[in-house]
Amino acid sequence: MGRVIVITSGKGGVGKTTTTANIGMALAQRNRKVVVIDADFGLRNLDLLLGLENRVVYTAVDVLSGQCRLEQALVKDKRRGNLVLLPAAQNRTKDSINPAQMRQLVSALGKVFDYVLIDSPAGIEMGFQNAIAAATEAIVVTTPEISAVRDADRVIGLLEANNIKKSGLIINRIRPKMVAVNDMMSVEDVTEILAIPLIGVVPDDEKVIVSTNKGEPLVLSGTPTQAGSAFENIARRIEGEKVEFLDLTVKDGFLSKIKSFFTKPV
Amino acid sequence: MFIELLEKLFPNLNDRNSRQEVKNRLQLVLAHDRSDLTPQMIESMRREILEVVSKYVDLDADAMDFALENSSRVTSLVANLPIIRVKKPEFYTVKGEGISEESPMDDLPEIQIDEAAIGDLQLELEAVKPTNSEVSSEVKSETVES
Ligand SMILES: Nc1ncnc2c1ncn2[C@@H]1O[C@H](COP(=O)(O)OP(=O)(O)O)[C@@H](O)[C@H]1O
Ligand SMILES: [Mg+2]
Repeated sequence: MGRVIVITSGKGGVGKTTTTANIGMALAQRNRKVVVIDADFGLRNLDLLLGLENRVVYTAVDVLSGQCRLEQALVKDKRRGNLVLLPAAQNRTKDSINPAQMRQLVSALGKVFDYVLIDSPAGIEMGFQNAIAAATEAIVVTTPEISAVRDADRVIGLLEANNIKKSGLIINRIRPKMVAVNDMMSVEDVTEILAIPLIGVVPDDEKVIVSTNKGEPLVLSGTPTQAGSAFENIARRIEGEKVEFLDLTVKDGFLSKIKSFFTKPV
Repeated sequence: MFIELLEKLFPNLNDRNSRQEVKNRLQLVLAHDRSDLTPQMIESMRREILEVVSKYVDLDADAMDFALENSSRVTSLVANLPIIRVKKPEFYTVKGEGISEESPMDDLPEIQIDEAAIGDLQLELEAVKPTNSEVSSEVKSETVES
């Protein structure tokens, strides 16, 4: 049975789908067989981030209703054949599938794939319940903002309550310059508060938006980017490698140098 | 003064530290989120704990602090109750619990003293307390109503 990992956050827009697409692709580049499941029924996005939107024919709902077989619904990535997408239905609501059905799908997929990554919708209602139902591990994505961290904390509690014992934390969109002037919580601050193991730190990077525009996960781009390397490192950590975290600290800027000069004890 | 000038020019240099502020706010709100205690439960807990503690000590009501705190996903109830004074055991021998705040002296039991036994000090004592003739050193266990 492959590893079943849900990518979740509580709050929307913090980077769950971006993370799923990039980690899925990074694991595929390491020659793992990977299926990414879009569990955001009604608001599907994962197909867009992978650039596979034009190839979606059937969805998970069609499989469950017997319209098609599971293999027919899987969309193979055009660049990496060992990465496939199980699309969510766009014209249905989150109630069009239940946790038992999700387990049905995942247990079939887990027989074939090394990794089953489930991209969770925002919130903690039905869609979230579906997304976590079949997972044995979780990746909690947050940004260093108060509302995102609060929601992440809530989700961590719910994961624990639902017997998902193994959770890793990704802090996304960190802005080192803001941290340096004490206008943003640092990685250490957030990790200390949420108190689950850190498995990734992704800087805020405009290249993420460019990659979304192209439907091409950052980890595929030939030129290395900070966010892309961060996602590659996360994939390696998921595989059990020990990888140093990127050094995102801003070297002492001009102003803080002046200040520390004047505040030095005489 | 250099620093002040710098901080005026570059307000961000001054750690008005929104980072520390947001951490504090988060820790407080998470302590509540994680505990599943309703504000009503916390308030009645606070009231009842104060009631019990106040039987033994006088507390500084203004400096009191009663809060949920959180670290490593464990919530604790942290109460800081500054004690002004410990209530003397004799207090419990006084009948009637309430001591009025306006004139606490009037509420204290009257103490009798044997003037003759003291002698020299008579003058001073007379100024303080012109007592009745009956001689007794017994402490009356009654509260005088003011
Ligand atoms: N590290 C990053 N740097 C810059 N923009 C990012 C980063 N991560 C996510 N974004 C942007 O944030 C938005 C929300 O991301 P998305 O992955 O769709 O979040 P979610 O799935 O949690 O709702 C997108 O526009 C995405 O491009
Ligand atoms: Mg999403």
